[in-house]
Amino acid sequence: MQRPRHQALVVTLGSTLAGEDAAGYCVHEALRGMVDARLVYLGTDIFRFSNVYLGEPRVIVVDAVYAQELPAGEIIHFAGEEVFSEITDVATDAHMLGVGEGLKILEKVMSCFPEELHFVGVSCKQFGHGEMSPEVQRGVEQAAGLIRDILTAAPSEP
Amino acid sequence: MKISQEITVDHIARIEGKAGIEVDVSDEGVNAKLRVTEGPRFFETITKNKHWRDAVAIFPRICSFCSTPHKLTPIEAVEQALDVQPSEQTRLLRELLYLGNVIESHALHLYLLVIPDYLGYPDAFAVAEQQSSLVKDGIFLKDIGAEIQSSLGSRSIHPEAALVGGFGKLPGWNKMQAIRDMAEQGIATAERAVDFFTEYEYPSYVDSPRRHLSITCPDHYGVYGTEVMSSDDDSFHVEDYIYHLQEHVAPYSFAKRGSYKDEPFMVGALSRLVNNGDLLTGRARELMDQHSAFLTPDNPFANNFAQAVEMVSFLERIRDLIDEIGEPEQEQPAEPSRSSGEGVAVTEAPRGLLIYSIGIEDDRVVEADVITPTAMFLPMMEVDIGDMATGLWQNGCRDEQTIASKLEMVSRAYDPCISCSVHVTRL
Repeated sequence: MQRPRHQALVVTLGSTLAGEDAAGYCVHEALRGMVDARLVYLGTDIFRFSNVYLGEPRVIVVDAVYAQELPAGEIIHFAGEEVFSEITDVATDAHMLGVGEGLKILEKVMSCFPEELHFVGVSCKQFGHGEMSPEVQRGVEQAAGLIRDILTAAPSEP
Repeated sequence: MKISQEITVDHIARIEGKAGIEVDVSDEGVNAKLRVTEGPRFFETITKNKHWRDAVAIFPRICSFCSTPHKLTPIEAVEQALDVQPSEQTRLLRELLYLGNVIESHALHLYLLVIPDYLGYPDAFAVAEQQSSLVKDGIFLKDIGAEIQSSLGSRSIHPEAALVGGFGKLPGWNKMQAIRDMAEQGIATAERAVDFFTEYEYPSYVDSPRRHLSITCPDHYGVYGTEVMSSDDDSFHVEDYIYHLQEHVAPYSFAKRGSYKDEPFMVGALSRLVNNGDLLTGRARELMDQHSAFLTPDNPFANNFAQAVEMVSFLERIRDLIDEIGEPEQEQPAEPSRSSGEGVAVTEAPRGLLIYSIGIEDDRVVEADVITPTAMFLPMMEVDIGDMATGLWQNGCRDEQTIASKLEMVSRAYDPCISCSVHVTRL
């Protein structure tokens, strides 16, 4: 494994063709050049994380999330074990292999896994086609702000 | 009194897209239906009157998993229609890009969707917990394919760098070398997949004679060709596909359904190996010779073995292609020499034959017909699902869960891509 140039990696996910699923990509664009971290957009494939990961101790995964009870644009943040316990998506078909299930699998199979893992989700409602709602656009800005805060905070205790 | 059992699988898990199974089985016979519930999306209609450049950007949206075949096949059809002559380098790079997609697709299917069946686990996570090296192999192989598509196609899905006439920005030598190294390493990994699938016997209930259709590979085992061959020694030029391949609509399914000589047939990795296996070389050839007993043309479960052998073969081809291409030269894409015409192209998508027929007038698409592999093999899959239900029933199995899971295994052996299959239904 190459030695990482940065201490943090921000992995963004989502399809730019599927309505508000583009939220992760929009966060990526909002952070570009603004943070001291490596930014990688992986499209819809969390499994590519195993190839792009260079050993950064802190990793933040960003994606659009759907939760009935959350209003559009709401931000959720899980850290450490919460990422595995709180994201309980289970794939119903290969198009829907979710980030939670993907990360759980990767944790089992990657020889080196980040010491400090965060998940930042933007609550989205519309995964078909069309424009992003103003609420989700504001959520994207808030998620970018939260990620900047996480990146400037002291590393969490292992 | 008729004793019968209705088995319903509302949603077949671990396939690509949304479909369900309905089976009514009794001593008197079986009625099996594969209900494709994913909504139709009318790609042939929405590309009408679009400039051909826009159309070849729209077609790949049929499916994210199969976006590379759905990009490269219409490109071939447009080039035929407009008499575009791409360079030899472009042809080699396209093959490389295409094989990247096949590797990624096969790896995802075998390791994350199928292997849990064989090991008796509910999902890939359970496999990762118990046998992490297996899933690690799968993710590595899948990543080789994704890396090729990202590097040559500009991104891992919906490759925009592949153009009519050539390519956009090409990767440098360092990237090509890195892919070559990954492919070289991947060969041994894929060999382990072949070993895995030779440890299991196929369920005999689904043994039944069938025709296999694939392209006729012109010189090496691959994905490009112009002739379609059948395992009954018949063949036809792809331009004549409309006279040989029929498509029907079933009231319970959003997908069209193919037939050949009025019968169901099979396409995909197994069909390719049945028809073109003698063209395998290198390590894939050795493995095929060593395990030829597992290439049973009459059993769909052999498709998983065939996919594993193909991963070895295509990784060897990827390595050799990169050696042949060397550092790609940035070329100007070849231009069309006319603005109207018709073109038909066939390629071997991961799941089998993919046909695009495109008519263009004054640079606008006036007619498009897309036939996908899943639409072709759905009726055969339905036959096998019925046979599996019958076999289990006749052997005394009455447990709904057991029957349902075996029926799902049959459908997964085919590796159906439901999203592709529902692009065209005309209601």
